[in-house]
Amino acid sequence: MKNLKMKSARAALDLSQAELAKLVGVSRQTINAIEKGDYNPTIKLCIMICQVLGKTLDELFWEEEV
Amino acid sequence: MKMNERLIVVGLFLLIYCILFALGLAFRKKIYGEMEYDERQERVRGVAYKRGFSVLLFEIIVNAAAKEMLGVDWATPVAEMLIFMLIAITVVSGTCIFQDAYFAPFAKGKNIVLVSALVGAINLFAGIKKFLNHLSFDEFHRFSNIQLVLGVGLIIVPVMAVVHEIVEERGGGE
Repeated sequence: MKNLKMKSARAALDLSQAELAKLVGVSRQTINAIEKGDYNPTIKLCIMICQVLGKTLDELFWEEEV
Repeated sequence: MKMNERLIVVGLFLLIYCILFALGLAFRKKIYGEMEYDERQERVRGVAYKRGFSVLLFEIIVNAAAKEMLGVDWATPVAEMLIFMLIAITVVSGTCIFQDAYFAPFAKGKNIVLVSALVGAINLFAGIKKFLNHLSFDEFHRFSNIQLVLGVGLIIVPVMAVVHEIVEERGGGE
């Protein structure tokens, strides 16, 4: 499932995937894979992304049950 | 060439290889930059090594069965070993390349592609030259023609990397 919350949080800060990747210390393709829902990041990476984007884990990675 | 002379040549080659290997290790960070991979890349590389290992095992088993049961002797042992390793390495490289796990986040990827392309091209050139001199298809898989086989194999890896980069660029990051 696509992570649109992360994508919009990144866009709100006017960051490209490459810029976010550099700030977090991973490859651009990894950020792309997370946003596309192709890769489930570890909690460590989730926390780093949240810190850079100024969001909580719930705000970016919690899936609401339908 | 006498046995002693051969041993000296092999020893010299090993010495040169060891020196180059040591230099490569010493200047690795300067040449390639930081080579730490992120968690997704490490996971993909794990899958790639597993595939490469499985392919290598499969090749060895099929080759052994073909030799023992059917009596097929298609290449010299050294040529067989090198070709099997080449196929396994190509599988590992291909898996890493197509899942974006071949360059560390801050590594200079172009250098790696250039080095493998250069080594491949040298082998291919030497192999073609040798092959044209002999012009013998019967001996194609013998050790004397291994450079041609290795050259073709080594060129595949940078070609895969370049093709993947082009496809990536067209898809584009956001």
